[in-house]
Amino acid sequence: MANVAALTDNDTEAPVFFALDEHEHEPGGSTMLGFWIYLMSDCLIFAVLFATYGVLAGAYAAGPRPDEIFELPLLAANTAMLLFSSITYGFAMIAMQNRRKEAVLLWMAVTALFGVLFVGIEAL
Amino acid sequence: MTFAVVALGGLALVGALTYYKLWGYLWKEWFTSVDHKRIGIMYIVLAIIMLLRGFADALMMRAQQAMAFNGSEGFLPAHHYDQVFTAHGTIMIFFVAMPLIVGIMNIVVPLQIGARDVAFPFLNNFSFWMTAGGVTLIMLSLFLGEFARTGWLAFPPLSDASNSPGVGVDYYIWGLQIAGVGTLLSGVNFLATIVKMRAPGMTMMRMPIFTWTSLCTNILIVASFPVLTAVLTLLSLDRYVGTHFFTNDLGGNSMMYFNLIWIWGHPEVYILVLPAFGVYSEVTSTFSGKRLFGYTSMVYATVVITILAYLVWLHHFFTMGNGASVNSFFGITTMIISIPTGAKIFNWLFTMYRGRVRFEVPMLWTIAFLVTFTIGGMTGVLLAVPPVDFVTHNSLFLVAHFHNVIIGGVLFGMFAAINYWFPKAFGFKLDPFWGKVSFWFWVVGFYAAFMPLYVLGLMGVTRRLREFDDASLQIWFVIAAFGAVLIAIGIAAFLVQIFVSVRRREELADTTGDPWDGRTLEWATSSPPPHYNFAFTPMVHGLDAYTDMKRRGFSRPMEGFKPIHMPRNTGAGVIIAGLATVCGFALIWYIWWLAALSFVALIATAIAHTFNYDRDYYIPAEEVAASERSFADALAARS
Repeated sequence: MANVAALTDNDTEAPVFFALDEHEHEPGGSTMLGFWIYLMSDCLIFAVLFATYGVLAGAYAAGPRPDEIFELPLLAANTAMLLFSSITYGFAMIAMQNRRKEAVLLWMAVTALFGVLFVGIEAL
Repeated sequence: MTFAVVALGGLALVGALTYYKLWGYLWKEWFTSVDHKRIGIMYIVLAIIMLLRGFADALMMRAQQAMAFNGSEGFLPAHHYDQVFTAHGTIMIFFVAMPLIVGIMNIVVPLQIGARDVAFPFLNNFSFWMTAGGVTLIMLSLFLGEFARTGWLAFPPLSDASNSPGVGVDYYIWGLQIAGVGTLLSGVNFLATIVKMRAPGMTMMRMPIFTWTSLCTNILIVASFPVLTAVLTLLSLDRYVGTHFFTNDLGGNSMMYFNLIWIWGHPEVYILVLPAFGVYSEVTSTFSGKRLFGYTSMVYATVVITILAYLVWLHHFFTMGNGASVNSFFGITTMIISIPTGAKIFNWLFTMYRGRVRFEVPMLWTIAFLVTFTIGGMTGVLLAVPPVDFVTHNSLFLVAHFHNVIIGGVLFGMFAAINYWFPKAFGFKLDPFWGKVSFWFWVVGFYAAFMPLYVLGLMGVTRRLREFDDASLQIWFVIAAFGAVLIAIGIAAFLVQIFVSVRRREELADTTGDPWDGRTLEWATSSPPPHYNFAFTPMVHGLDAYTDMKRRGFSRPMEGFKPIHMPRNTGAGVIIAGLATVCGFALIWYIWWLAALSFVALIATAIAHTFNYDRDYYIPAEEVAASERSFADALAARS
């Protein structure tokens, strides 16, 4: 089937017009692509929300500013815990696809550790 | 009045369906169907029903404006008139134009690329029912409560809780949010379908133009509808929980809303018109008996329009306090869009040049489009010049302009498409006589209805006015109302056309599957196509694949059929979308327990559906063989 693309209009002989011995298509073969497209559309919702935040971040209407209400000295560290736990969970998924049990368990444990750290910092 | 017509029509329909015991058939064969062809037909039926509703609104506005002179207040009170123009715009864009293009894409795209269905057939059914759910809420506003009185984009601060306290804007928000989920998911679906499921040999530059424009339209859908979702969510937060994103006081900024809604809204007009451009390309090439002139430039023009669609949104509010340099930038990007569009116009003209043009109904619509759209495009370029826009903005000149491009561009294209692909979908052609009657009344009616609005707009008449002081303007409104009556006859003739064609379906039958001497793969199968579309997947060796097959003498294989793997119908889409609609209704009327309950039920049904493993079945090889043989017999009997 790969050589079909190489054929051009100029071929004089009648070529094959129908795939007679078609192999079965795996159902859900487009799921990965479809889901990625969907996730990217979600990304745009967040882009809009961030843009709105950017525009309105200074609009306090003479009310208190966030830094007058909240005290979040470890905000960056805490966010880092969350993000790291996402990527280590991703590693666990990859290990699962490769059917490597020990690696899965290891990355799950690392993810749990980040989770504990996150909750711990929250509790501080 | 609309209320009474809808109520009587609805009751008559329900009565007739019950009397003829059609509910079971409709449920089994249509409502739960995951077949892209049937879903496409349901989309188009929905769109035609909503066209009648939206056009009833138009007639009321035209009558009101023709009457309300010399101290007369017309027949519509202000609060009613404001609902009518809002409903007209909302319905015509979201529930007529959108279902029409999604419906046509559903019927045509999988066939054109030689596929057996879309990538996610269940999702397709679900998308349709979400659109129908949005329609249900909009129609419900006729019976319970009221609709928005804000104009079709519900600009704040008019649409916020203090200025629009009733349920009207809430109907608007939830109707669009629910339908929007459907639109976004069908966008994802078609992207995956076109990218992954093309027949072997169909490279990107061998895709039929309609498939190309569909691809670009779905890119626009996926990249713009999330913006609408987000901005409507922020508006609902303002209305429901008292935030101040867009309010006048406490730090709100309504210009954020204007920017965001038009970042969705401008691509939206290209979402509508690009598939129509695709239709004109297919129609022109088929009825001129020639390959499309400048295929490659057509593809690039489409892609350029897709990109530029995101760079022009600000021209919708030139007068709202942007600096001169910002306005200049967006004015120039807007004018640049007319270049690829102009290239397309010349491509169609050169396709017809020295072709054997057959003036069938789809071709008539295409020629009317070429003339009408060019006029609309030129007034668009006028409006793109910021100083001109300062004079004409918010006037009837603008109203005339966008009706000129949406009716002359989108709607003419959809009528061309319906006349062109109807035989493919149903197995018989539409009656050409009534098609021509409909065509002439529509086109003449369009000019009579909208050319006066250009004149009025240039004289400074603003849009959405309910009554007038200057009696000298009345004649123009009377002419416009007369034009609307002509269009009404055009719509009636279209319905008669369908009715007459069904009656005469034996004479109009298409046994060949190729009634127009078509050039693309959808004509290579029977009309209507079997469930599985193609017994054997076609292999593509060049542009205009079916012309190539006919020219080099192909033969349909008559043996070696295999069982075909197909998705099974499911009621889950109807149920989930129904629950979403109930949830929307509960949110509109602040019935919190029902909102919570229906939302939980919605999630539960969706999860339960994922555990349904009985999703597919095989069409036995004998059945495929039998249906292919009967098609072959029909072909043989003809020749």
